[in-house]
Amino acid sequence: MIPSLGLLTSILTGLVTKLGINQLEKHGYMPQSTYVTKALKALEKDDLDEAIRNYRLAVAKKRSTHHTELAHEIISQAIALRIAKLQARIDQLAETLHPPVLSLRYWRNLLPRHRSTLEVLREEAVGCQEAIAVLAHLQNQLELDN
Amino acid sequence: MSKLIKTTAAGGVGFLAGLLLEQGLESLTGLDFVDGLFAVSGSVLAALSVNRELVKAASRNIEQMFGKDPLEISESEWRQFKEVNPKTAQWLEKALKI
Repeated sequence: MIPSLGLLTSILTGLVTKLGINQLEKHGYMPQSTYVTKALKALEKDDLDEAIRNYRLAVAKKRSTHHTELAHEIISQAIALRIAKLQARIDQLAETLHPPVLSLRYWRNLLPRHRSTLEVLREEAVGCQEAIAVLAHLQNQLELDN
Repeated sequence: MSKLIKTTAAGGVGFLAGLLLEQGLESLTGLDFVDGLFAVSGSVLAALSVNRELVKAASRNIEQMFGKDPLEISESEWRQFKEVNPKTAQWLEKALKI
């Protein structure tokens, strides 16, 4: 049972077309709106890396347009909002971790039974700081492409 | 085997014809034909969804910024949003005819 030559040719043509389109897409040759839409869809899924990657592809081969400028502002604002939220959490944690000396919380924090809870909060604060650093890096990447 | 040769030959002729046509159109109009073709077909297909996606993304940002539905934000909150996102706000005003 050898498949006919016609079938093989069709399969080959289909594969070549698919590979060709993939390559065009990968290198930013598809229409700009395609990448902008993809970037915004990635943003909806909270995938900032993918959103920025698609935005960069949108402006890689073509001039920036009104749509790309809007996408840039929206992605940038989404990153800024995440940073603000994390910063708010860090401030909240700092209030618990570093209360004023004259407060009751300060002395309560010195009790050994609170040590493990405070350690968890400290780790969370470090995690937030790291996340902010990553987001700031992403924002820098985005600004470089603008 | 002859079919494969025929297909390859037809492909080659088609490619050459396309190339000649493209070069001819480019020299006549001064436009990059492939880019133009992509731009037209792409913009027709993708522009249909890109505006919707932009509105959705912008409203998500408003929601995250103020913690409420974009329809429920006050005048001052809208001004605040406009200050931070001038292009998006202007575009939303135009698109939604506010």
